[in-house]
Amino acid sequence: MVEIDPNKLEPGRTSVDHGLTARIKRSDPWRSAFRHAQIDTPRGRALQSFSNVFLHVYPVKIPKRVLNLRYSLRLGFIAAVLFGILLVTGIYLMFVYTPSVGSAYGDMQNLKTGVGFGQLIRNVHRWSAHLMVLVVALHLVRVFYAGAYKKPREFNWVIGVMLLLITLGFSFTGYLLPWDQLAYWAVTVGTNLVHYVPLVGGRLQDLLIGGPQVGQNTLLRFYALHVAVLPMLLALMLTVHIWRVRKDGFAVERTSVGTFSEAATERPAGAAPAAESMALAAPELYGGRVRLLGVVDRESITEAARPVDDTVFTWPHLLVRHVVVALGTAAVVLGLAVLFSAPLRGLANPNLTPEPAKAPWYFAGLQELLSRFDPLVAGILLPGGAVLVLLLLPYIDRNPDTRASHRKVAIALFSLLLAIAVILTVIGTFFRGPGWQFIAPWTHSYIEF
Amino acid sequence: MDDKSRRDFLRGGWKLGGALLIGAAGYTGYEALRPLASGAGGAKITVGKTSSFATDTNTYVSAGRMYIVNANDYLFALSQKCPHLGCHVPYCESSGRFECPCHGSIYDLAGEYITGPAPRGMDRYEVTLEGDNVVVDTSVLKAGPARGAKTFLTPPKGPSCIGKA
Amino acid sequence: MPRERPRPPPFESAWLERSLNRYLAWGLVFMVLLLAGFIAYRVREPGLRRDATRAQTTSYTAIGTQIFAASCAQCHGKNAAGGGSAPTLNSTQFLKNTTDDQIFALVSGGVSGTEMPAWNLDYGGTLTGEQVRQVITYLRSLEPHAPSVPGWRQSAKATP
Repeated sequence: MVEIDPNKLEPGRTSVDHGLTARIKRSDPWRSAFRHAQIDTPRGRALQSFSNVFLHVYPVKIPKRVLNLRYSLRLGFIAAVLFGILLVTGIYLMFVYTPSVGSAYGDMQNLKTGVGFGQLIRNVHRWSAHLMVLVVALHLVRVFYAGAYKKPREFNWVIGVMLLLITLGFSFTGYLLPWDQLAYWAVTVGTNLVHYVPLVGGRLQDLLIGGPQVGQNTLLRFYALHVAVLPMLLALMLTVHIWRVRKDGFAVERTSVGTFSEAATERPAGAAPAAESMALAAPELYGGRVRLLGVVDRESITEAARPVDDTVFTWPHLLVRHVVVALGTAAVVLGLAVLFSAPLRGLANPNLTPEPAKAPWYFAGLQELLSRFDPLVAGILLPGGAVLVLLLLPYIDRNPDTRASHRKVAIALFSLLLAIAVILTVIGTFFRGPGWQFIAPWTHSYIEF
Repeated sequence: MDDKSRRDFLRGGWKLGGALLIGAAGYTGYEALRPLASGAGGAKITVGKTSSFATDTNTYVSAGRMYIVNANDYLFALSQKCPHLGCHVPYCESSGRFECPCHGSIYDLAGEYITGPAPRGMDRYEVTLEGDNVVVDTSVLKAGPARGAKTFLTPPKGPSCIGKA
Repeated sequence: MPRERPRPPPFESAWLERSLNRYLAWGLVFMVLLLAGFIAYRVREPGLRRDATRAQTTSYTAIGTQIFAASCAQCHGKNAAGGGSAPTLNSTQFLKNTTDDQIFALVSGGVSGTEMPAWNLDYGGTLTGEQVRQVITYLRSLEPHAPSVPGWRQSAKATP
């Protein structure tokens, strides 16, 4: 056994532990995998970030205001967690699902009757998908009210809107895969809507469904989009999104006018990277003697550069919060999945449109519009215009101030549009029955999640 | 409870909870991917009259993926599957033995082990006589005779098909 | 958390450590909830599956009955009892010796040299694979009460 030099012990430890786990943790194989013990000292907490590739998503230190739950409600992070849950359950489903008209519906039945935890996995997938649409939308609303789309975050807002569109694309393509009546007719209506796009509508529709009507080709196309194209796009955009959040200094400082503190989140001025790599390469060699400059009290670097240290260590403060929020999200999703099963209607029948043929709730507002106006207006121009305005919002609203009292017009307009969207969605979801007739939701519910 | 012991308790709880959650996830994965229990066991197959299996011959029955052999007037139903690693063991006309092309296991006409890496002789299905009919129950596969069994061993008729003695 | 303790100022290190403990405790709560949900589902699952299987068999039998009456009864007889130009399917001889997969293949691909056409859409027929399976479920539902018909293969018309 390697002799342990007591001088190399962390401050606060006085004796060498001779227990079995302690011995394993001191062994070469263990230390080659986990470069150092988990230590509750500033240096130990910084080392956690330095020596773990997965923690490099985070900076070593973050501004204290990021810890404030009330600021962001962690909506963006929750959306990412839901995406992770969807990825895992989606892979499970890929093992038991064949995208073929002949067997897709049978595979869905098998999930219910044969595959262990099959129905649960499908329920979790379904509920995570619903919640992801909701949470991404709430995230957008939250970011708007915080004014977090203003300089320098304009482009990240644009990426965020694209992420919302990709999320909706996921829902739409995933909707067809069970190949039941609900799926078949929702997608038939949706793809016929594409037909109304000016100039290229017909060709776009052909590309999407790959035949005269929704059939085997459509199923295969939607499957490929759902399990390959969209996940790749989303992962790519999400990477840029998260990276920019970090580079732009996380949360906006609400009281400031268009400023952001990049310096606070990145390496303090004067910190030499060489010291970090030295300590990384052979922490035991330098023991406690070489301190990481990033951890050293600010006075020892330069007092003038950083008058107030408003940062805390990511490990453990932000990380534990994130893990707890992820666990909470998973618990909510699992609870919903255990209590409410994803619906499966009869096998898709091209000759029989069910009553009522309702879109999923996040498209119910659109369906409500479609029942009132021409498809070109309600299905293409209005939603297309809304998306365009959202995409260009940071370039339209040039006011750099993030304080609510200084951007009353923007907030009023956005709130109005938001209210219209919510009202349309609520009417479409709860107040419409067969034949799109107005019904009171307490008489009979036609919603299916 | 002071701060340190509270933190230690929480840390222990997280380790236990994390381990249990990983266990639950693993169990879920196992249950989900476990093949569905198929109701179709093996059927009883009537392979023919006793008279159609002459002494020291073999007949391949594709319905049961097996050979019906008559070795010294004893009837056996041998699974075509090599007990070594599952290759289809063909019958070698020139040597009069079953010779596995994959790794060179050789069995005599009754499926007893002669040479090669196989752990035992060829596996057998149960054969019964219903009157004059030979009936094989393909639902029960019995492990073949141990390596030492040499009850039906006869010298090879000729050269081996896979180039072994 | 005892109230008499002084509250440290926010975001200072005492506050951070204490709030960390609070979050760790919430993490434990969520873990317990997750495990509880997992166990709850595991306990309910056999019942759920049984119900789903029963519901599926009932609905498939009902649909299969309709399909059989519309597409098969002409030749195989009403309720598969024979009497037409095709074999009597409601017989122990047929049902005991034919697996679901075999019936699926026969119905899907047809029997060449007879009046039995290919029914599956994949082979130019009119039924989807799922509908063929529904017909099979219907035929299986006859099995417990199927009569013995030794001449099940002969059609009523073939025998003079």
